[in-house]
Amino acid sequence: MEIKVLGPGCAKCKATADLITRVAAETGKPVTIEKIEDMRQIVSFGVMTTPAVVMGGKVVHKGSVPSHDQVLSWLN
Amino acid sequence: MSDVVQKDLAEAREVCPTTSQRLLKEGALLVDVREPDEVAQVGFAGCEVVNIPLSQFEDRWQEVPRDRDVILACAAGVRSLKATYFLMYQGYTRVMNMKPGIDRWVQRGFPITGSAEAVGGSAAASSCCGGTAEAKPPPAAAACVCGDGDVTTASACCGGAAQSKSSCC
Repeated sequence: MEIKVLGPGCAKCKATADLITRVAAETGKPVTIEKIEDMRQIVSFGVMTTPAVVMGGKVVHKGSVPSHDQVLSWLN
Repeated sequence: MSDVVQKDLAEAREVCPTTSQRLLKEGALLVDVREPDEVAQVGFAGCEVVNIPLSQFEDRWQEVPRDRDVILACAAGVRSLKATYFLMYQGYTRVMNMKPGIDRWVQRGFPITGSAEAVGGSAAASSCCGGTAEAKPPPAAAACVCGDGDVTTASACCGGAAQSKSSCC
């Protein structure tokens, strides 16, 4: 499963990527996380507020670090 | 949350404050994306300007007209670049980013509201498109160096502003 984390490389973006990695490990789901930090690329998804998460062609979250349960629901 | 269409965005056109002045006199609209407290301290004047703070931009971008030239501006040109790309994502074609922003605008002595002492940019910066703490200049603009009133490097100034024929920076 490919997941994109959009953000300029701030602490919240790192926390988002780390959380997804951790939850994926807990559930045994194989994920590939791609961090997108370039502003033009971030906005190319129509996103203004970061961190944002893109999964399966959808922006599933933006503007904050997601919760553990949110990440769990995306992976299931 | 939402289906997303990733779009391949072209590099945004960037214009320096001096070129912006010319475009504004020719009818362009200035959109200041700084937050209200910043605008209250010092604001753009002498031109048609609207304030749509970046924090509200996703909800209010439709207020930006599509049928005229629009210059996005902030303190140093980073937040406004984000807004410029967002409008490009939404299909706008007549948008450009002022780089740097009001810091350089004030240094050039262009009209303002409020106090010039409120700007936070580095007055010592001599290179165009940089010189503020907000962010480093993008590669496309990194090479531009413009002295005051010196037009010798105008073709390389401010990235996309190369089309402009007037003096730059």
